[in-house]
Amino acid sequence: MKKINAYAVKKDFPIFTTHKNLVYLDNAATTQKPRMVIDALTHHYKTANANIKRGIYTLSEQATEAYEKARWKVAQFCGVSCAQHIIFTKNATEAINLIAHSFARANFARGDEILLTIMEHHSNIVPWQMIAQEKGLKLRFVGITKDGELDMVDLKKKITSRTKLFAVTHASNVLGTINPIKKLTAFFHKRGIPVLIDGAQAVGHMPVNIGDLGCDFYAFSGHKMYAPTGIGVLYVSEKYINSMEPFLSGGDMVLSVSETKTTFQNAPERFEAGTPPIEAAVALGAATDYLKKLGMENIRRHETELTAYALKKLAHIPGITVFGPKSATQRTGVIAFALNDIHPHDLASLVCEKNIALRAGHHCAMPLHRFLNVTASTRISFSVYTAKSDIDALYEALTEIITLLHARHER
Amino acid sequence: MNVKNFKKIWEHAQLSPYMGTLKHPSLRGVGENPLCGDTLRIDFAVRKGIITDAKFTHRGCALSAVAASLLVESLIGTRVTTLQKLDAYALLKLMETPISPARLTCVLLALQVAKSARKK
Repeated sequence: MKKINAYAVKKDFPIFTTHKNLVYLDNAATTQKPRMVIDALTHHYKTANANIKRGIYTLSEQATEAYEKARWKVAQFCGVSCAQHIIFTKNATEAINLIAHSFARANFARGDEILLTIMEHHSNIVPWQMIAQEKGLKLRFVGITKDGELDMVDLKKKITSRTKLFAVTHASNVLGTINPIKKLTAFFHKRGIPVLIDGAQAVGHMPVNIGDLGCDFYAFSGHKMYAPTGIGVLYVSEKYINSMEPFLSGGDMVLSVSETKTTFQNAPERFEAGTPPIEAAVALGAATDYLKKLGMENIRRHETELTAYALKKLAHIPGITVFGPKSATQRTGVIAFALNDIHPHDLASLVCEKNIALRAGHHCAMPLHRFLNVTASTRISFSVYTAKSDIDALYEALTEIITLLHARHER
Repeated sequence: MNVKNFKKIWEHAQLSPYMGTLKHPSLRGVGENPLCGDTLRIDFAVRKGIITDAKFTHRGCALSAVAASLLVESLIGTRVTTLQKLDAYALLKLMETPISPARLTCVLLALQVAKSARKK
């Protein structure tokens, strides 16, 4: 194990040179990009830019090789033995939509049920709602305990003979809760129910080995793990990958096209219609190199230490309610909280004055916020470059704001 | 927004005399800020085409409460037809503090709700 020095890591991220006093605590929304990733993007454009797959010239072959190498790197990074099971998408949302359309729409019938949890991001709710409306399916939601963990008693109650899929987040983008994915997958597989994992808040923050988890579908976004926006990843297991219908259609995903009929390629091309974000995929590959260099175990330990430190500090803020598990080891570096009498939006505006970037609102988790009986919360989220001094800056800002707001008027 | 400026807004939001509901409103507008889920309701009492009283209830930030309070105050005594002529610039002027682009929706919720007011 190697301890991560956040101050040294910050130097890898040019944004902190441009904005020297920036306290960036909105990593669950998107992470900043290391020089290595930015260089991979520009290097690709400078040296290997061409469309991939069908160009009979060296540059196109180089671009194809770089794109496929990125796929291989991603597979290696998240414990997938065969790179052909990695499908590049636009983001985690598109990856989940792909499964909703190509798997659920094709295989589920009226009255079938999809089991979700109340802690899901809208991206793991809305696609299922739309398919449910179209196909006459029923959605059921597993609740959470008072500590923000999945309610296993409720989960067992919500499974029926019509349950056809369990779709759950690996780590909540509000509560930080890390769900026991390996156990859950084994539990549902015993009952013949496939499992989809929304890994947007997990990959890049903790070691994730999809092969070991054993799930059927795993979705995540590049931009939340130091890669550019516009690239996401979907893993599909051997059992389903070549029996699923295409999602989007057009060029690159076909074997042959006549005026009346089209035959499709196998995965991953089958699910990657049109020119993909080649340079973003290449840069995602570079992001996995960067994370490997730091070490995922080291990153997890760093973020757990920060979370424990922040939870301890926040406990001293008067009128605060922190949502989610009490122990840092049971959560990622995401902490959402509410203050008694200062609305999250107002708080975000106030700390912005002190160069602190955090997030306020429902974080695309309105059902969860309703469950928590608040309309919105304030969220801080950590990353490899987050230092204890960033948390101290937030703590001082919160203390000052609360003190000034509650101070009596000067006479 | 600095804390000093915000404190005025925050206190106004807590002490607004226009906070509450009307027992028999002539018009009522209800709305939600899609970005954060905040909700606002404005009741208007109208007599002979004139807004004679107005109250609001809200679950949300101080900016949206103050915007509602200032808007309601400015509307009392005006013709009910004014509601349809309301514009964002007038409301932003009433706020007397610069509003960042990200917070515009908080302020403009009051405008949207007032414009949507319908007979009860």
